[in-house]
Amino acid sequence: MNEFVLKRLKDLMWILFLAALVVGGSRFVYGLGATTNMMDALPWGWWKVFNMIAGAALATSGFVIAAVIYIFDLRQFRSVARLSVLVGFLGYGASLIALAFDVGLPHRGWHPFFMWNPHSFLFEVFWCVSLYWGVTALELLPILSERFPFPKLTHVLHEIMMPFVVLGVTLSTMHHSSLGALFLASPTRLHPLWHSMWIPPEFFISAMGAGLATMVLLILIISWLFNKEFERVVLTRLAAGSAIFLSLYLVIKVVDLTVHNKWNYVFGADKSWESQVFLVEIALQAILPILIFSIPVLRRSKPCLFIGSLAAFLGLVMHRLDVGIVGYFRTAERVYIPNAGEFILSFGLLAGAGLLFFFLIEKFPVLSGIGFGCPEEDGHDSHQQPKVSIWTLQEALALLKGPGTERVLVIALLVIPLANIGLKGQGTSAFQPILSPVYASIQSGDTMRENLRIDANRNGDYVDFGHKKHQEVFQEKYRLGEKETCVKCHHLTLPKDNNTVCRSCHSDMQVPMPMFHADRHEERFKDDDQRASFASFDLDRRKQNFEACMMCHEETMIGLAAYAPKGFDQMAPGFTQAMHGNCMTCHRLEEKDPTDPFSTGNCLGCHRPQPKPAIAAELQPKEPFLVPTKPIRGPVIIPAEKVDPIL
Amino acid sequence: MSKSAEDELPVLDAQGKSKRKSKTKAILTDATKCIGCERCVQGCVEQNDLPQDFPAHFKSNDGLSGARYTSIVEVPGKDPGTSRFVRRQCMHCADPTCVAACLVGALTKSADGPVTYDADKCIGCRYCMLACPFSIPRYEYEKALPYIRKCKMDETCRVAGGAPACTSSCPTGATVFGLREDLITEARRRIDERPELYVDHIWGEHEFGGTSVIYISDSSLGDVLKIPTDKEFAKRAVASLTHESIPHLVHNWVMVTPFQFAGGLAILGTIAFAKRRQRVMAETASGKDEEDES
Repeated sequence: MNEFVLKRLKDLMWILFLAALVVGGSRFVYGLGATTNMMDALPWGWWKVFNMIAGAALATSGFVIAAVIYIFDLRQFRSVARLSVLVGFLGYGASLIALAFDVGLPHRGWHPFFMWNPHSFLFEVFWCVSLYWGVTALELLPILSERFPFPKLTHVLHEIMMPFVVLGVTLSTMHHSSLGALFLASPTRLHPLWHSMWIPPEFFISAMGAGLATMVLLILIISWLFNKEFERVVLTRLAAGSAIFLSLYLVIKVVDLTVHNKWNYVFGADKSWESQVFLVEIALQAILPILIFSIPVLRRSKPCLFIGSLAAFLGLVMHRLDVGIVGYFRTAERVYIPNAGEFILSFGLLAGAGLLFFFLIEKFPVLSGIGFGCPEEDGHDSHQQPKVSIWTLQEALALLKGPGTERVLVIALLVIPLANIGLKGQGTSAFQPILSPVYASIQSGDTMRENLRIDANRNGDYVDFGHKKHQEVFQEKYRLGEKETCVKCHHLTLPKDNNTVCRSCHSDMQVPMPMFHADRHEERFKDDDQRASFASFDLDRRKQNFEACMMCHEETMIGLAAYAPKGFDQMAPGFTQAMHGNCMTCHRLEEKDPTDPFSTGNCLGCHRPQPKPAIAAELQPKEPFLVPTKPIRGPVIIPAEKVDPIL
Repeated sequence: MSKSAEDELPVLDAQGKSKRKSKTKAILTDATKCIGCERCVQGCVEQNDLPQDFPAHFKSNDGLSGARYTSIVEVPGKDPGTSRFVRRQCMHCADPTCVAACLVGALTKSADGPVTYDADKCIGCRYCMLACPFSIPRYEYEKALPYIRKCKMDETCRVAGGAPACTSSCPTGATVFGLREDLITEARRRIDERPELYVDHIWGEHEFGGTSVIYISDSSLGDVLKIPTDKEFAKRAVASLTHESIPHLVHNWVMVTPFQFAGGLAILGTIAFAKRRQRVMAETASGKDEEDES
């Protein structure tokens, strides 16, 4: 049973890890905007807060147990010494690799070593974490040196280990408090329930408590997976230690809330949904584990221990997410929910670390005190090495030849849908505009485009344009003999287009943009015989070349003649100027009374403030991005469901 | 147009530059004069040669983005049904949190006011975005290798007259550039002259240790500028931020670090050494029994 679970667990880890590589690769091709839900208002997302900040806290066991064993000389914990250091090493490694995907310019990761800003808490975190990671690697060296016969090196390493343990523990105490101190910088943005001047010690102490609980959880899982019994006394002592730290954390938190007069945010007048989150968090993180870990009867029962340590684990993750992400929601007026790709990369990297973890505990004397992986100590178990491993090339080849082939194939095939989920709807193209700047409100039943809304900067303050009203006026004028009617606004209609969107030329709010795109013509006539008749579209786009355009466009391009005196070397003005020009050209001439509140001389005549949708609109999922099949003209406009863009 | 704006500030152009103590430059924005034409945005775009802006899920509603260093935000005015326009830009704090936060020192505060950004140092960690109390720095999420983008206010965006492109393109003089001391005096003068119109408060004068971009208005700008009132500061248990900066507030924790390192090494080292010595002595006394047990 357990071997079956272990096998499937490893399969799942491989699938996650390989999918994470695909998703991670897409981040470097398409950028953070395309692959994640991070935003300007909430710049720190899942990778940083979950993988780095919560991950570092959960890997605390490495330094706590090292301190207990090597510094305070409590030898009864020796059986879990290497396990805890290994958890520290792999946990920090996975966090740092996740950070490499999260940081914008990871190839500059060496900058903080040479460009100093000692005032920055992040600088301190960076130095301590990278140094501490090096120290854990060094602490793990004896495992390698014992596996391969280097008795001398083993002896030397054991002798010199002490100073490095002291250094590692000191660095840990520093960076755990500094990870909390990062959030001292947001006294006005972070919710008062989570911001406090006491964050550094709170982070440090809760990390130690949760780190020990994570260790308990891990030992329980390993002993179940590998059918091993651990010394019960080690588990109960770890749990007791965790309870001490968690109680200390709870006391600090309660005193903090009392001293800083913040109970009103939990129960009082300023109660909000954050209060509920906070109460759940405190219950999971501190109250439940303390109850279980401090009552001896409960502490000795395995299921209770499992529940308690799991609660402490989840509670700590929740606390870090609350401080790093959720606490900012209110002031940012936005909600951040990581997308599938972020989850897959995050858990995939952890799965990779987990695979390495299983490899090391199966092949190296990590758990020498308990037995397995260490032939001289457990005679009857040493030949029962798990047969499910595909660690080396020979094993992989043997699996391919033998009955394991289908397993490898299944893993490879299952990666594809998972990676696809991670990339779905995004990560496959650069950004495209979401909404047309001119649209008709379908919501109010306007399918005939009787009233158009012009809102290019999408702030919700649209200008109402009576399309039907203008049509009627121009119909009347047409009967009276005026020839230019629709053309007045729809002054350019590209071939095979009913009415070309304003945005294809006036593609920016303020900046004039070029309106003739030689490359798009090239693309369009790539395989056309006609192309021979004009040497290249990279014409000098001046008046005299206008004839070349007219060769094709004379009949199809309504309103083109208006451009004859100008040529195409001009830039199309920004959207604001174009729209103002469109209205003003006629209305200024017709205006009789400039003091009329609805005259064109009065901004509020057209720009009437519209009722703003509440924050609820922000909570809605973002519009899907559309992949342009063949960009022929202008940026592709993506129709949102509610509006009918004019194409 | 910009000339008329500067004419309103006799203290600015005229004599007396030698008497001045501080050479800190600043921008004063008067929300009552802004008509929301976005000429400042246009001027900034042209001067800095900014790329095309487009809406995306990662951009905020305030109009600032990786391609826009300044923007106009419409807020409800004093009377119902009216509205005021507020220009958003980097506040160029006197003691900026972003400068203290940046781990590689890519952001620096220059002596004459602007907070400048060195793209060659940046590693793209976005801590400045998290640390900025005004949520100003923006990120080029659309790029595979993104940089931080924000208002510069340095020499590169100053046009012929010496003022930045944004203030020199303002048609109504709602936003003006000058020495900070002069602008504070001018803002105070305007408030005193028409106390019935203005709110008696200069946003950015003292909050967060003072900023180089200051605002006056006839309705509260606290919400849009993200500057809490004194009461709100006190409620969040950080009352001192009404006059001091965030780096100053957390300075004690920064100072703790070296002591933490030295103290940690000393204490832990002593304990480790003592315990080890104790164990070695115990082992030599009782033979090698313990080694087998462990």
